[in-house]
Formats: sequence, C-alpha cells, structure tokens
Amino acid sequence: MAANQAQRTGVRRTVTVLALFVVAVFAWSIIKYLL
Amino acid sequence: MTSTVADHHHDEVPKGITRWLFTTNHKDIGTLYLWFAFIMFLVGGAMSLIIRAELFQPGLQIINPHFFNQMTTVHALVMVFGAVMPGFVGFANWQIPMMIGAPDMALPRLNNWSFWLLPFAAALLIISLFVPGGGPAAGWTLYPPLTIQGGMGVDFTIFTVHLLGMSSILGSINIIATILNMRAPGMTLMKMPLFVWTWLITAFLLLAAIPVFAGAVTMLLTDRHFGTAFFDPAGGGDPVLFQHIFWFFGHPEVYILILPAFGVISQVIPTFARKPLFGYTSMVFASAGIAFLSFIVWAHHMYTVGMPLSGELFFMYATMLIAIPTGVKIFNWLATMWRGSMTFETPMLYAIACVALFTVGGLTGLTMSITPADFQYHDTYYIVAHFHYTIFAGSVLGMLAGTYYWLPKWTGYMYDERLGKWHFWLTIIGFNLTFFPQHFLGLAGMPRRIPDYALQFTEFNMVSTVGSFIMGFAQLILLLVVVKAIRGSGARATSEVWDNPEGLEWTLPSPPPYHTFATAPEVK
Repeated sequence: MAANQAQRTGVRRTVTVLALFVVAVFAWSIIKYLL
Repeated sequence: MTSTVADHHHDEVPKGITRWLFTTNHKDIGTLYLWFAFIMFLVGGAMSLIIRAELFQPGLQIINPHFFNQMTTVHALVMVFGAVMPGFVGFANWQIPMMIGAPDMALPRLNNWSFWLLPFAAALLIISLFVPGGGPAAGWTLYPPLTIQGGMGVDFTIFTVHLLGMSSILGSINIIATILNMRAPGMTLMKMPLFVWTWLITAFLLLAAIPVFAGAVTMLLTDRHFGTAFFDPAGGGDPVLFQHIFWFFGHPEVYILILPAFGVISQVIPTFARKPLFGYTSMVFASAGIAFLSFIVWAHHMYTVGMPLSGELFFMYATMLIAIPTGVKIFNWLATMWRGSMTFETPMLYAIACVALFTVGGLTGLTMSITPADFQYHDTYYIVAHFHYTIFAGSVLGMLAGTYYWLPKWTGYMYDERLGKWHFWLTIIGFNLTFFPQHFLGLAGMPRRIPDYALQFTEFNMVSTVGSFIMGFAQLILLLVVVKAIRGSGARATSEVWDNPEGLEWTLPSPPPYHTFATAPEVK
C-alpha cells in the first residue's frame, strides 16, 4: 500500500516548505554580500 | 510496542543491473549508499596511508610536497562527503522506514536520484587529481587565496561539492518528509526510536548548513572565473569572509557527522544492556540542543585570525556550552549500562568504544575552546588527533556498531563473531596507536599539513604510521565479514536477531521482504 491521500498532501506541503527554505538560504548566503 | 507484520503478497525482486540503476526501493538504495560509502572509505583510507607512509620518517621519501597537500585535502573530502555522510544516509534508508512502520521513503524516485548523483561527484573529485595542476591542495576547508590561485582541479572540486550538496539536500528533504508524514498510526514523535530522532535533527542541520557551503563555493567559482572579488582583497573582498561562511557550515557539519552515530549507539546499548534507554526525552532535547549550539560556535575555528575580545569570549563560552548536552548523552548511555545484564558482542564493543573514545575527543575539544590555549594548539597535530577522536571514534565507530547490529537483519545471516572481534580489536589498537601520539606531537609544536618535520618528532610519527597500517588492514576484515554474511555462511538470523531488542524492525523477518509494512503496523 502506497501513501494515503493525507500522507501525500503532507509530503507535498513538507517538500514545498523545505525546498523554499533551501533556495532562500542559498540565495541569501550570496546576495547579502552583493547588497 | 506491538505491531502487525507486513503483508508480503507481492515481493518480486527485480533482477540484473536495472534493479540497481532504477530502483526506488529504500532497502536497495540503502545498500547502494552503504557500498558506495565503504568503497570511498577504502579510497580515503588508502590516501591516509600514503600520508602516513610519507610521515614515517623525516625528510621527503615517497611523494612530493604538492601531492602530499592534495592527499591531505582529498582524503578529508572523500572521508567526510564520500564515506561518513553517505554511510549514514545508507543507514537512514534501510532503517527509518522499518523503524517508523512506513512502506518506503516518502519520495522514492528522488531517493534514487540522490544516490546516483554521488558516483559522478566522487568521479569528478578523483579525476581532479589527474588534471593539469593536480587536485585541490588547500585543505578540505578550501580557503582562498590558495583556492583562487589553484588549477582546474579546484573547479572540479567546486562542482563535486555542488553535486554532493544537492544529493544531501534532496536526501534530507526526503528523510524529513518521511519522518513527519509516513509514521505508522500510534508512532508519535516521542515514541520514535532515537536513531530516527537524531536523523530528523541531522536532516534539518543539513538543510540549513549545506546551502551556505554551496553559496561559499559558488562565490569561489565566480571569483575564479567571472571577475567577482568576494574573497580577493585586490577587488575589495576579504578571504576571512570565506572562513566565516565556511565554518558557519563546517561546524554544524561536525554534528551532521556525529548525531546519527549517537542515534545508532542509543539503539545498540539498550539491546546489549537489556534495559530501556535511560533518559529518552533528555536524549531528544540534548540532540536538539547540540544542533542549535552548532550554529553559534563557528568562529572557534578562527581564533588566531583575530577578532574582538567580546567575539572571542562569546565563541569560547558558547563552545563550552556544548559540553552540557553532550555530557547528558554520555551520562545517559552510562546510566543505561549501569546494572544492566550486559553482553559484549561486536556491536556492543563498538558502541562502548565509541562512547569512551569520543569522550576523549570531546574533552580535547573543550581544551581547544579556550581561546588563549587554542593559540597554542591551532594548526598543530593536536587538532588532527582531536578531530579523528571525534569523527573516527565517534562517527565511524558508531557506524561500525550499527553495521554489526543490523547486518543480520539486512542479510538474514549472522556475521562471523570471531572475525568481528578481530576487526574490533585491530581497529581500536590501530586507531589509538595512530592518533593518541599525535596529541603529544601537536603539543610539542608539530604543525599539520606538512610532508616533513623536525627530528624530535620521529618516534611518535613512526608509531602513528605503524598504527595506521594496522587500522587499514583491519578494514579488510570488515569486508570479509560483510561478504561472508551476504553469502550466507553463518547461522540463519531470527526475526529478533538479538535478545529481545526494541523496535518495529525486529518484528520483520530477517532479511526483511523486499516490500515491508504494506499495511501499516499499529504502535501502542
């Protein structure tokens, strides 16, 4: 049995938040020295 | 904790090379990670033996100084990013779904990609040794200006770091998504095994630290090829800025390497002490405390660079604070063993050695946190001794404890206990012969990262080199142990393997079916 619908929604939400966090940290670690 | 065992009605295992190339199964991917880590462990180990052979006596006898610098650099990069980190991701892949009662990782295809980035990254790093100018030679810290001046090997290394970083980030997202969303009914966060907890915390550390490192090496790349001057004083930049950014990643990285080992130890000790883990809740909070503190201590690697007194005081006291949660953990492991019905199978021997020897590394770390004392220790062999007592004695011994602990579960056969004990004792004797004398060398003033040294350091260096070859040889025994277990030369392992161990993975047959927990178990 694969993940149920609640799990899929949770996984999608978790991945979205974490991916945005990673992109923000990477971008900020460079951009702050350009400002 | 009770559970229902898996529904095994569809357990076809794919065959051939495509099984390993396209697999989305957490056990297969865990196996791939573990083999990759072991191969990198041997590659990095061979490099360390080249280093130690050159240092057997003063003078230059085997390799030239530039190649020596490449060896120290690539040895560290291979061991940190190629052996220890992927090794623990292998453990995570195998164990986390089985420990939380999930059928697989939350993102199986991403899992496959996370792994298959690694061989290409490793190949780039190894190839860098053969390009004009040779591989990176500035130390694993990749400090400019050396890395700005280096040859194309540095570019290879930067892309290696990018690939390894991507792999780690994708792996971490997968682990967090799995733990937060895929737990079996009843498996609340505070019922999770400690190994799962430490990996959850480690994954967050990775997500916060790796992008910063990726940013640092990206700036290095643009400084080298695109006319920027982030780290070049001639263009208004500052090489010390790189050190700050690097160590903002580098110190959490130390805990990224060690926390999963703490998790393994917290599984092994209760099993062989035949007692529940002492202080579970405090273990969870101590792990989280260590993770938080790891982000506010980075400049203790840079005391000699120069900083305001207030800065030195802050970083000194913050670093000392780490001793508190770490002490909590060591106290809890000792309290778990206290009056337990202990037996000393190979996993337990490794776990005890890990606790004892990591404590030596922790204590020397505490001595280095003291700013004025660190001016004496900085860039000496005392540092080399210290971090090998934390990373080898902590991370690698923890990994070896976990390997022997779960190997019968993974393969379905008991490992050869006699060979396991040979492996243990030769590793421990070799390790201490290699690294304990290095404390004295450092205190006497022998600098690190040099291929030659003054005559008075000869004896300790000879002992160190002999120890390193014993330790290197011992790892071939591990290979034999693992191959024998896979080929099924030992006794069949039962589901529980050990004497009444705690956790959902022990409710599954050994080896577990290809697909497990297709029906979620209930945890009470």
